[in-house]
Amino acid sequence: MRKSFFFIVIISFLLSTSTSAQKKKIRFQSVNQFAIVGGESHVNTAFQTVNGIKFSDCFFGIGVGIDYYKYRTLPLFFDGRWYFGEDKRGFIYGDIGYDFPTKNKPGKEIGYYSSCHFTGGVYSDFGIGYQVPLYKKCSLSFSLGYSSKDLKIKVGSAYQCLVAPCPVDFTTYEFSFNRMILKAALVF
Amino acid sequence: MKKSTKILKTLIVLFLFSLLNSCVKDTCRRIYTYSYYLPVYKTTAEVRANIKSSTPQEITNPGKIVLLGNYIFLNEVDKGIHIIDNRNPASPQNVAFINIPGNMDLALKGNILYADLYTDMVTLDISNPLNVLVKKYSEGVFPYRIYNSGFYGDSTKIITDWVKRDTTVTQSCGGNPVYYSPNAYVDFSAVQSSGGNKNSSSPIVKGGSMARFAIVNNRIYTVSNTDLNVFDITAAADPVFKNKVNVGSWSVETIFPFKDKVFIGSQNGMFIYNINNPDKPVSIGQFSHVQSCDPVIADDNFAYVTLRSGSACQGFSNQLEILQLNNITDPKLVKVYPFTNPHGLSKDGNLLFICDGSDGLKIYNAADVNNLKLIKQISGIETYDVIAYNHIALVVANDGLYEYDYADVNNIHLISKTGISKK
Repeated sequence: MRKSFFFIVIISFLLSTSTSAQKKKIRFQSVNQFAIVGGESHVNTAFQTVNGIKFSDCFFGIGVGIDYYKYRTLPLFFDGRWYFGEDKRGFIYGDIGYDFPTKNKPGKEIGYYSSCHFTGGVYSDFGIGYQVPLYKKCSLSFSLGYSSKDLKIKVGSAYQCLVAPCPVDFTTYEFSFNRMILKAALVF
Repeated sequence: MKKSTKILKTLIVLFLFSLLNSCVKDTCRRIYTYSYYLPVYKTTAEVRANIKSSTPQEITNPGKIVLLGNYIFLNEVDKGIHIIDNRNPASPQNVAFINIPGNMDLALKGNILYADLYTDMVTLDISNPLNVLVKKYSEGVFPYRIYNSGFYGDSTKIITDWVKRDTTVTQSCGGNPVYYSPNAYVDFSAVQSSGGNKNSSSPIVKGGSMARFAIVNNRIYTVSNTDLNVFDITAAADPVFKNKVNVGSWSVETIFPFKDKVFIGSQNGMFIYNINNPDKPVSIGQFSHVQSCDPVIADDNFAYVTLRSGSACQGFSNQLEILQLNNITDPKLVKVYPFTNPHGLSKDGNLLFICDGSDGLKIYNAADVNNLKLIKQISGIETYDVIAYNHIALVVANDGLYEYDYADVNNIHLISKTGISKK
């Protein structure tokens, strides 16, 4: 809830600042990022590509990626960012979307369990960054943010019985992985 | 100067990243559902007064099965025994029910039926299946029948039923789930497998491969999780406990008699006992395998062991293992066949019947154990145990008791089904 609130605030701010600049040029922009995600006793990597439109000091796009933190997931999200500073190199950004699980074999035996089913959840990421021009409209950006992804795993444990189907007890694990995310991106 | 500033900024970002890493925490909630059961008690006197042939009841949770001539005795797990008149296999009739709380196993010798009643064994005269008579109670002979949360069938009161309660608990993921159920036992469900078996004088008695009772001549052998027990039934109506032998396994499941031996299936191997001295079974061989549930049957030359995964046995193998018994003290693995989830099995001549869980019933020509040939697969039923005898295969499945005629192996066909009531 709190994350959603922050995101709404950011988006509102971006919209309000951008209306005055609507006459300025609108162009396509692609942000392709490599990230290191680190959280409680675990560090891993992620890759994302965000594509959208840039106008004035704002950028809005849709992103997709692959996130290896704890369980591999595929986040699909909306991305918004606002550039600030004299040379518009600094920016704040916010992402919100859904992360899809990639390990999902409902009904299949996974280790001890008789069934194991993954369900995705909310993906969010917001932070601050800095963009360095490289060549023409191509630039490098670096950002540091806070990211969260939710995931559910429902496992079933079957007990021996005389006649199948044997009774199954189900346990659902609801994870909320909270991480810091350090990204390097090629922007063009 | 400018370069050093950039390096400094980079270092600050990295420092922040690593610093903040340690500040964020993952959260995890575990939500689990489980069932627990509240016991319903009756006094021992009430229970014993009710052990008789009563009106037939619907089959809801079938267990072990024993064939006695024209009658099928089918265990209703923890409830009692259905008596099914099978004089016409095309139309079996459920004719009576014997209320035996805690019953999971049964065996027959002539007209005497032995059944467990929690920790006791009850001996019944079934000369007239419609009017069975109790001959003896052997008290406390199955002490392993202990329930979770400390419930026992004791000498003054007996658990006759359980009232199911479902509950859901939410907690953080640290530690193991806590199953809390006041004055109840948590269901890790009817975990025992049991049953009956026998080679006897007429009428023919035949039990399934999931049996935990076996009769050989004047002895009844029963297995608990760890022990092989011997009862003298020279006087059939008056069984006398004679001996207990520790099998050396913690997970004994089934017993199958063949000639002067009994084959014991456990989750970690098959054990062979010589019963030349019927009161003193002697271990003469064993074959270890990976942990798995494993009913076993045998013939003159080979033992057939099915291993299955899932359930409480926690194994990961699903296969049929065939063992050479030429040297009985050292069974050798001859061949392994993959299966889906094999349970009970039976053999009649060269025909091998295997209940393969959701894959149904599979019938093989086992004339050459190195080359089993599938004759027929009966799909669409989830099978548990089978008795193949006299051209009729009795199959216990999750939705009923099936009878197949295999007089003509090229035309194995269903002749009847006794349905199970789903509750």
